[in-house]
Amino acid sequence: MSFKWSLGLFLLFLMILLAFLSISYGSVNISFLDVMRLLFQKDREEAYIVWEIRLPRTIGGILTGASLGVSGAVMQNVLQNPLASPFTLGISHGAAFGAAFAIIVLGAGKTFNVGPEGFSILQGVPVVFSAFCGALLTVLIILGLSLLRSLSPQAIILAGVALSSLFTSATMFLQYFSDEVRVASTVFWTFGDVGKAGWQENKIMALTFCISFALLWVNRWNYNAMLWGDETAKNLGTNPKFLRIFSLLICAILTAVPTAFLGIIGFVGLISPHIIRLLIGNDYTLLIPFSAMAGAGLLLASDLLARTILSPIVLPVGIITSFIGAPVFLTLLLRRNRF
Amino acid sequence: MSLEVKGLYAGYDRSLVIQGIDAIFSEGRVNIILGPNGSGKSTLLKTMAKVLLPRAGTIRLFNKDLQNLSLKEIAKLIAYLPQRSNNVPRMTVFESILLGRKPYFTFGPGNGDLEIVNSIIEELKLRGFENKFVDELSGGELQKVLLARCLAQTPKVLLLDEPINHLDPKNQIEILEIIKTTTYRVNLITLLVLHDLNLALRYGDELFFMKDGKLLWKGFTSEVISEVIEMVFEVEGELAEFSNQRLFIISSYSTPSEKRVPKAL
Ligand SMILES: Nc1ncnc2c1ncn2[C@@H]1O[C@H](COP(=O)(O)OP(=O)(O)OP(=O)(O)O)[C@@H](O)[C@H]1O
Ligand SMILES: [Mg+2]
Repeated sequence: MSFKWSLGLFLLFLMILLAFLSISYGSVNISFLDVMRLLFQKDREEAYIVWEIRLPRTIGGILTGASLGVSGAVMQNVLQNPLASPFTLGISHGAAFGAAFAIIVLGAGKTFNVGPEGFSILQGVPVVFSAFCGALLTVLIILGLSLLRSLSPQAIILAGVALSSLFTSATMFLQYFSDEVRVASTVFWTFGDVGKAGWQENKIMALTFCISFALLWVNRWNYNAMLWGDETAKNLGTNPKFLRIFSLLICAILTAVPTAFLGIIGFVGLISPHIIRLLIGNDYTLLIPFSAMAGAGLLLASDLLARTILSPIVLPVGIITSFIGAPVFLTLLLRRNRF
Repeated sequence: MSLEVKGLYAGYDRSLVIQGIDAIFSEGRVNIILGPNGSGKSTLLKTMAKVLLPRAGTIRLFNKDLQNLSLKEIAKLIAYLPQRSNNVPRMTVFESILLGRKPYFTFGPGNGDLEIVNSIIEELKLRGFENKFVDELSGGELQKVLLARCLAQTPKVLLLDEPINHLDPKNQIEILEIIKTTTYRVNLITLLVLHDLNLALRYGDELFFMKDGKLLWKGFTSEVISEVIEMVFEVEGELAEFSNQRLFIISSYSTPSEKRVPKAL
């Protein structure tokens, strides 16, 4: 019991520490003390950096990481597959297609470079909206199929793979008939970047996260029952089919929102639950909140690395998460950690 | 008060397995279901646990149709131990048993739930195992934990599909004794699927012989005759008495061509 509580506290502390680091590091370094001061004095010059650039970026990172971590934990449960991740159902490919469709066919989206941190805005409402629709459409098709034919978890994953490849080819088709600039912006869109997060985006992400988290958290004991397979779960009063569809729908929205805003950020959702599982086992009453904190911490750390590793160049965090995510994941696999 | 099955037909997408079963299982009795592999014993149990929906017929518990009860209500009344546990997650023994209380949770486990789990741990001699991970237990230890979870549901009906199939002789007897005493003490309706004829003769109050999805013979254990066993299992042998215990001793088995249909039935 006490180990689990101290782990929770440790994760919380780590997250707050990383958040402070994330606010103070950058092309202009601001000391911890100054950060504290600037959070309350908005009139000073550096306050702009803290309030308009670093803080939204940091909060965006926390929300995105937490969303991905929670989705990963829940999807691995209801799909009964340790490799399930927020993108298993083809969410990222659907979103990428949506973005490409908006950029290439509708001609939306432009690239700017703004401010000392050199972050780029290239979305605009149509691109975000279209990406969101693309992501959700994929998931709705799969859930629709599974309702029609009552698909097994394995079949749902395979359907996700099939739709992913369909959307990839559709995206490539669009790109083939487009000009260089637009192809470049679609490719650039796919690089997940927390720098795209502003206050408006964060508000929507925070709302999505809070509602989704509550809805998933209510089912924590159902997820514990699901670990034993559908038959046992049923005998413990859980309806596996309903829970599966309900949870996947929530996770889809929870993932589609940050993905539409920031682009694709891989591996965080896959790995965060596994790290926690390695430490405390499979108890979903703790796995859900701890995966959220681990995801947030992981994304903040990756973003810090992304900003410092080739400084002054700021890499999109999606590149870093995949880059460190893959070896971490391979290590986990080699340790034969059981689901 | 009893569990009544009437005109039950059940099966899977492409096959009808249970083909018209009528039976009444009474309270405070150990009912044992016997039958060859593939005769539909597990399917019958799944249907009674509402894990599988019947194609036709009704199952009534205390005069209430199972169809009208929610999964959660059923979880408080019926505990079901599947024949195989395909999914064994990384979870401690205590957490696994506590899960049996889930149907009663509002927010999470209360003190009452912890007490029940602790007393069951005591009863099944699982003290010292609480913090072990279930995916690191031996087959027999795991089986005990799963039985403990069923008991933690404090059910009225216990459906156990081959509960002793991984246990050593001593543990087999120990578990069957626990099942028997709990059945009598709490007045449970207990259904056991067993393959060991002699344990069935020893622990069963009533026996139910199944074959090809039908119930071929049912009655009190003392009334069973060797012809029944011979026909159901396609073997030859006889019932004998040995130190106050009835045993069935197999002498030979018949090949499909020389199947006998005994006159007694
Ligand atoms: N999930 C399933 N899908 C389709 N058919 C099944 C399924 N499970 C069992 N069956 C079929 O139903 C029939 C009865 O199976 P069941 O498991 O009920 O037998 P059983 O009496 O429990 O046998 P055993 O003693 O081997 O456990 C078998 O012919 C089997 O092939
Ligand atoms: Mg069976």
